[in-house]
Amino acid sequence: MLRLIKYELRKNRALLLTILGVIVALEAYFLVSAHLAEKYQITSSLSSAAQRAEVNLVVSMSLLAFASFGTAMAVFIMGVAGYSRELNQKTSYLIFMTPNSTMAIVGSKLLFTLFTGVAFAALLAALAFADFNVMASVVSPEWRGYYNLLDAFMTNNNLSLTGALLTIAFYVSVVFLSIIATVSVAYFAITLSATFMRGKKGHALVSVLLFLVISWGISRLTSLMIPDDVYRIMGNASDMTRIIAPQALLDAGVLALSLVSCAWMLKKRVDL
Amino acid sequence: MLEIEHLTKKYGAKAAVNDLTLSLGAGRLAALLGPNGSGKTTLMKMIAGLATPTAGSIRVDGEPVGRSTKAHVAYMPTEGYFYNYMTALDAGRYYRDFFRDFNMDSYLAALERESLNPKDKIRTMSSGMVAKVKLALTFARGSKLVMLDEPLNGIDIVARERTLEAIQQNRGEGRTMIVSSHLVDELETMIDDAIFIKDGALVLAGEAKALREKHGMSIVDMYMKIYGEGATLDA
Repeated sequence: MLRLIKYELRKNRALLLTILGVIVALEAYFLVSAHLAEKYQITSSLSSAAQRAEVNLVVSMSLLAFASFGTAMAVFIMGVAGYSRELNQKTSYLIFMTPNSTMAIVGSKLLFTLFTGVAFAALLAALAFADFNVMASVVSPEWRGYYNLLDAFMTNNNLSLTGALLTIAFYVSVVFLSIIATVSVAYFAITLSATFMRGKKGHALVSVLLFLVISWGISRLTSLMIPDDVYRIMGNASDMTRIIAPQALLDAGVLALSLVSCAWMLKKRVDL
Repeated sequence: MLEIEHLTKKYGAKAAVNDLTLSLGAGRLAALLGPNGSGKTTLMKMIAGLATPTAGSIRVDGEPVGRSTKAHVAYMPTEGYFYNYMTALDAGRYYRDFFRDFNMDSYLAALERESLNPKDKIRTMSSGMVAKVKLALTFARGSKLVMLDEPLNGIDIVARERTLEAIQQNRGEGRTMIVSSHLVDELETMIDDAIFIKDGALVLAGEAKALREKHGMSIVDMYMKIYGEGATLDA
């Protein structure tokens, strides 16, 4: 499966490098803006150059925030569109004529999407951490107040730093699990369209509708699992974990079921 | 080596392959003959595991088509099937990574013989050059069953000659080869078996020499008889 993931990476290298290039360019824009803001703040806070620097700083931060959202969307689309393309283009021969199981083929694509998402999330989180430091030291010490959020979280939940980090890691994992479960539902709909429904009228539309209906169903189930007064009954991190755990189990179940179904459909009715 | 029983593949109401039964022994070179749309490609794709039959069975060396047969079945599709980023060298590395029977040295030597630069991107190559890359990849595998789908299409006369030479050189040693084509005269002299299919159904199949003797005509003439307008040929 590692080899399959390696080729997923190779296939998507250009797109990934483009995303990375955009993030690096925006980060450079932010750092230059922060530097200029600091420089003009020291010399003259009323000058038009200082105002321009401040505007640039705000714009660069906004763009970085948008880039985070854009990156998440791009990775999601890359994962789903890449799989759809694979089943509908002749390049699919390259994968499907190799002696790999259909489970390995689908699994490698899901794992690649997950790894890519995690890698970009880690990069953006590291940049956010570094950028807050820059803002705190360069522009205003008030920015250090954001660190107080972590302090408050730890105090409220009676957590050590390790405990806080583990709790945050759990929440982040649940978010990633939820996203990858959604991707797997998209894979299920695409696979159904490309196998049992291939050649049937409107199969693409049915595939999209199926994805929307299943996703809606899962979100309804999730909302039933989480009580309406969640914020009132939630006293600490362990409460939150207890409340989120069923949702994580549901997502894990959806992921496993989608994966097995995709592999089965491809085995029983592949048609490239 | 290859046993096909009552194989059917339907797309909606239309049968691309219809109740086809066939067997091929080891080391044979068979021509799969028929005009465009007769079901040759669909049949090969089912043997390669790229399409699932609606009914019937295929066994390669006694095993049903699946992961294990893919390890020793080499299929050369008629279309280009490479990723945009791939150079000829990348394609070789891909085959090396996934097929244990792939010989990189033999592949690179074949590219050199054809004056192809391994570092050239396949998508920038002419269709004739892509055909050479596909053929080099396929023959660099030591597969028991090799299937070439229309290897003579879209290439010039010189390349056609070289392709036929390559087929000759790579036959035998227990390797069964199926070559699909509607350019029958090119294959006439080299094949052991001929398989004629029409509208997905098997019309005539057998040892080429025996067929010639039985019908008193060449494979080319049989082709004309079978697929010519209003013509018939008794099996």
